[in-house]
Amino acid sequence: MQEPILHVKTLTKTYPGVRALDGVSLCVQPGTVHGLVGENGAGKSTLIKSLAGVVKPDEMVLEMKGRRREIRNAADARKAGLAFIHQELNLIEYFNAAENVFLGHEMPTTMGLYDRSKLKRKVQDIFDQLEVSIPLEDPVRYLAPGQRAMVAIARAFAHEADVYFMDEPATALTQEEKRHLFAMVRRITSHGKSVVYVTHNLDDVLVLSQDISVFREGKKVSQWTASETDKKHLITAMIGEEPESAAENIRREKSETELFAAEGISGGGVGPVTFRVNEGEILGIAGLVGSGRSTLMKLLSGAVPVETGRLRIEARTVNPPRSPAEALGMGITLIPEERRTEGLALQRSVFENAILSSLGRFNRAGLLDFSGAKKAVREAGSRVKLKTVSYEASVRTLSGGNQQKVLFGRAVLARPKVLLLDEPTKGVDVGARKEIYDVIRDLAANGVAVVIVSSDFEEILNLADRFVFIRDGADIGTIENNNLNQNQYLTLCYQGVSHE
Amino acid sequence: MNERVTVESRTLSAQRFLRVWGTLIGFVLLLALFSVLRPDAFPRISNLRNIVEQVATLAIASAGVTMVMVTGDFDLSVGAVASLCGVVAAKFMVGGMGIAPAIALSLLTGAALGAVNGLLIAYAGVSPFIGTLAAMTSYTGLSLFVTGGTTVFGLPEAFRILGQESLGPVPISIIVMVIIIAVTYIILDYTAFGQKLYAIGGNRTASFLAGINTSRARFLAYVYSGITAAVAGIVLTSRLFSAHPQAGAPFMLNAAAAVFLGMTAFREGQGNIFGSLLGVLIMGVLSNGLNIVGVNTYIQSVLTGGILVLAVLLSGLAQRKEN
Repeated sequence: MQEPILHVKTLTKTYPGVRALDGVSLCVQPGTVHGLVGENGAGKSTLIKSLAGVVKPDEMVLEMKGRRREIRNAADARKAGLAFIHQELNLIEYFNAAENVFLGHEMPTTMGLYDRSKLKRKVQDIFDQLEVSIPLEDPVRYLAPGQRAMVAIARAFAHEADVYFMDEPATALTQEEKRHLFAMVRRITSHGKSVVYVTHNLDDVLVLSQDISVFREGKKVSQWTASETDKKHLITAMIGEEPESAAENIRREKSETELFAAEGISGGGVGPVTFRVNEGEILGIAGLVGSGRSTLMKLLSGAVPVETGRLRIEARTVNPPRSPAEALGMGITLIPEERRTEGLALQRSVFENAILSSLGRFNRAGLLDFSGAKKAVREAGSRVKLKTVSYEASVRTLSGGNQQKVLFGRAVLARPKVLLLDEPTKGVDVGARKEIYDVIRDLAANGVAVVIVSSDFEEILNLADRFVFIRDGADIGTIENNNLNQNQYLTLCYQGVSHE
Repeated sequence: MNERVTVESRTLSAQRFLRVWGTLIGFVLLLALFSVLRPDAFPRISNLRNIVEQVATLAIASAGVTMVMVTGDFDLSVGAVASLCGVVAAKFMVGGMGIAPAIALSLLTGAALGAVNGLLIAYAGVSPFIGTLAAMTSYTGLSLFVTGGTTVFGLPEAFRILGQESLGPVPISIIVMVIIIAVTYIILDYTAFGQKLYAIGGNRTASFLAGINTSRARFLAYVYSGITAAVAGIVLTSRLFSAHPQAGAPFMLNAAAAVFLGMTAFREGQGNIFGSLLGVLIMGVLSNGLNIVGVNTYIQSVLTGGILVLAVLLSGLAQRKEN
């Protein structure tokens, strides 16, 4: 075996009362992708923060190519040859790709003046090495999510680090974009560099990595080469028990009473789309990322104006809502895709976030009935299995899964007839994911009509009773979910439903 | 998840304490400093009452600005609204209208001007800074036009009550201030509407998608700001017993400064009415104390600016240490 490019030993970090990392080691070989998986709170982020010089570990021995290095701050980490690409990417929206890549470098100059064409050449050079093509002139805010991730990675690459830490870089990407991103990652490793890849997506880890380390409760519980493990192994190691399929396919008694229907709904470049959902039924809006699924959810929830079409709720034909407030009044509630930007007021408390859609109900002659509202929030919280130290804590302090449960708590409190879910378990760990599925099924069992969009095939195939397929904004047919498998599902996403 | 919980509870310690109570401690230290420097003049009841009376109008105007700033918006026009509403009330009274209807019309004017701001910003999507800057310019122009640029005199004697008389030992203007602050506190902290305002300030997109009518809530906050600016303008007009077309101009920056100072107190980084009141009092005590100590008026402005920066900086520093 070669000398590792990065070798971390006996990494321990204790917070008062919690041992976040317990004598962890990590060994990364040159020219490889090393996958890092584990549930939220398993210690992955503390590991990364320790290496990035953001938190100070109690104990850590770090060797880069066999040489001892001390890391006391971010500058030390960079000097040691470590680069970090955070999930948030940290791009400057109004700068173009070239300017973003060179952020933090000395700007290229000619006779002391900033030289834009030199900058462009240098960045083009970096892009060529990585074999990516990204427009250099446009502000990055106009780039697709995949291109943005690549800009962030290219920026790290420009620092000529030895080991690149990537935290969920592929979350928002289409399959196509993901392929490009993975090719880019592999190209980085072909230069003899290494990548440590952190994600919840086990399929991605298995495809991309040579080695995989699994963390649980502050310990590294196992390390495999990717070829000798599989998804089931990984899940077992992550949660410490045999996985029952998280989104188990449970078919329920079906009601034949229609609760919610869309008739030729169009707007925002999507539609016309027609479907119906019965009481207690879960309808999957199926399609690839970029097919218009999320736009359709925004149309149904009043966030994007509907151009044509009508809705039917409890057999009454109504005009589509013109705002989320109006939708709420009609009994339609949305849990949006981006919980941090579209869902939660992060600084505000759990209580305030959860009550947001039900304030009207606790209005007593102008004053808010705080004790009633708090009681209701606690009930909703326990119904969605929300774990929080206090309902007064700001939601920022919760894990991703619990933040998502706050949104479900809000939805439960709003007593919807129709619940719209856009990527309900995005960035949520396996354990919380299962609890969220239980909540969704529980709501359906209580007669709510659920409409769900998800990029997680397993999730949507197991949850949905029926699918509407959308491609390029167009309705390409409806089909019952008679135990569709992933291949059939994908084929339908591409080809549509033909009724011969 | 566990690690984050512990980090949170750790910040409950000294730094958090300072962040929540630091500005109040600073205020007490300021009082102590002036009391030590001029024990004969500063800490007297009459002087302290004088300070509160001086800042009552600013506190009233700041109440509305607090509500606007809780939603994450901004209001530069309060000074101009206060001036114009003072002028409106004075003009009507001088024209022979009774005091009560003149005040009512002035309040209506304030609400209407606030509504214009609200329409521009919450419904037409103009940025709060530019919208209220433009509004301020127009409202000031209106005041100057209505008065011909001169001060309006000749108000009815009974109108002195609001700004110059006392109920027992307490000046009426302070009573008005207390009422406005109490009303604002109840709206912000005890109503569904207040919850909406704080939520909008926390994340407007999320609030909109959660089914809050964010435009209406922001609009109403501006209307409220217009009304409190009008109240401030009316009390000020009574105090000066005349209406100058630019009498309220200092409110523009002082109210914003008070609310910003207030955001460093009691609740971390959030507008709150008692914080704003503290901000107003700090500015009042500074101006009064520096006067008594005999500091040059122009240097007073320099010091006030410095203290504002210091307060924000200190609370900001505490925040950075946390990471």
